[in-house]
Amino acid sequence: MPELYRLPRPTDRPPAVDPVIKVTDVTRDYPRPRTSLLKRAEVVHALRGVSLEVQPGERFGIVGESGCGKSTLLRIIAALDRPTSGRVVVDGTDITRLPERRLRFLRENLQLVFQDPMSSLDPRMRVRDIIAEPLVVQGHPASGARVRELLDAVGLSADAGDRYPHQFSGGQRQRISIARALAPNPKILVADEPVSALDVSVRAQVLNLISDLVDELDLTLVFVSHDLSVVKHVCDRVAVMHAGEIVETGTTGEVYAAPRHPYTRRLVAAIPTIPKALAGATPEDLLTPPKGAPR
Amino acid sequence: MSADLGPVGHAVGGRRRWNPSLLVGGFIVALIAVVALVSFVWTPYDATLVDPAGRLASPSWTHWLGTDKFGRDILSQLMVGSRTTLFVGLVAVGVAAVIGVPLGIFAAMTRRWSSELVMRANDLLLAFPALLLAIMFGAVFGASTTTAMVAIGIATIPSFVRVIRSGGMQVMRTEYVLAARAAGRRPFPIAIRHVLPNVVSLITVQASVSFAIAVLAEAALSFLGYGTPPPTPSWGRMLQESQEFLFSAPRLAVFPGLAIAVAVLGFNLLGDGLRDHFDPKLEDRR
Repeated sequence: MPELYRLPRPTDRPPAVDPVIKVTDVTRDYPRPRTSLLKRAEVVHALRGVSLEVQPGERFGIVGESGCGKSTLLRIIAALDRPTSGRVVVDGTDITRLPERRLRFLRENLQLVFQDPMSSLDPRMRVRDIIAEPLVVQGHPASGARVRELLDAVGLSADAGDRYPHQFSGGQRQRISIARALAPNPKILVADEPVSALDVSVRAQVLNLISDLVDELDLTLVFVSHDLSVVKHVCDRVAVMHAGEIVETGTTGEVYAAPRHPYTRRLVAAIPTIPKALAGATPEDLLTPPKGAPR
Repeated sequence: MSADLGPVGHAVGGRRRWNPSLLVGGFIVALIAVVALVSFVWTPYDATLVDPAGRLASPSWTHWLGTDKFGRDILSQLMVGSRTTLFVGLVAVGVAAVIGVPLGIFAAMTRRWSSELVMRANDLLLAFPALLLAIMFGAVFGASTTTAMVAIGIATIPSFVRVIRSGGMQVMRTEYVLAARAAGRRPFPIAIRHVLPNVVSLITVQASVSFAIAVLAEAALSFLGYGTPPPTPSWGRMLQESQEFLFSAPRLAVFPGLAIAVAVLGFNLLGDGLRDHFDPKLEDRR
């Protein structure tokens, strides 16, 4: 990768750039189904006042445990779900109340890679139709050449286009997913736990692929994971989510070296490392919060 | 770019294991279809030919399954009757699928009151006994094969709506639908390109099971006199006409009864077999 293409890192970025994604005080409540005629239906507060900014070209990580609202936040950023309150501005446009027909710029510029490679590809479609779908929808010429180019970019052979998703392994399916996301030449790539469902042996490959493509194509990356070490590997800046709130934001280095919030400290302490393993740490030890952190 | 992992894919090709119920069910259904087709060009006798001299004949080399009270050849009647059976089944299932599948997909894809409206109307229809509906139709529009078919078809709509809705809801929860939405696909194209192809297996299974029910319902209606009017042969009416000879010539009831039972069994087996055939869990084990 020539240094020329390197994106400005948060440290050397001029401070006055407009954020490409700006989330302001977003909440999202889901009503539970009623269980009683007399009592009101319970409400789940999936997001409670989340604010964040992602700068152009940045690799922004969101970490947190399962059920903390990460995926809800992503869906709201991608306008696949609406916030209960708050504002989301993408590329200078407030998408919060926009009707679907005026979201075309978002559909072209923001694409997603999902977690489950089994459910993210339509089993009844050939790979080339899956990859070409965003092109067809957005009225681009969906030529075979473009599909082959995309397959090549994610490291799959050109004849993969004629097959069906079930003929591929998890890692290969995730590559197909990435190719589909890149098809309309988006500016922002949103990855929702893209490697959590993969074997450890292919995780690094897929992570490196995402990382390389983000560099090569000048993308802004929003990367969600419950795995701190994965985020550390890919992201410049990280937000830590807990129970629908962002408890800490900072550059990846800072958050790892000096976590401020007790929850972050517990997360960092729970990363298994070789020195810890050699010292005889058990899973129970990893779960024990470090001194001074509340459980 | 990191190198890829050797040859792509495994278990290339779509060869699936044939399960016994699919084979047997398919065989029975194909047999009925062949018999119905043959009856257009050849039957041992004219199925409606009345022969007072040869009435209530026992099975013999001249009349393989014997004759009824008018001296009509039973085998010929059964053969011609299979046409009615298949025709009624096809049209009834067709009516149910053409109306039920879009409604089911609609109910799966819309959230609020519109989906509720469809489902509650569906429950209303479901609560209504199919035969009662058919008898009502017969009373209003006159008893005929067409009335019976349409009435059975309408009564079969709710089961289609329910099955397709639940399948459609599963599809709507998948990430490939989310991906299609993120690419800018609108609801109608999602229904056609993603939801429909992924519920086709459900439609096939539901159709073959409904076919069995429709065959039985047509027989029951003809038995009650609300189905196919004479002289067109129909298995249900043959059964009804055999009543008065139930003790003197039980074979008159046995042959059409057997035909109905075998046909229903065939379609049910086919339905079961198709369900197993399309089951994604079994598919993965291929």
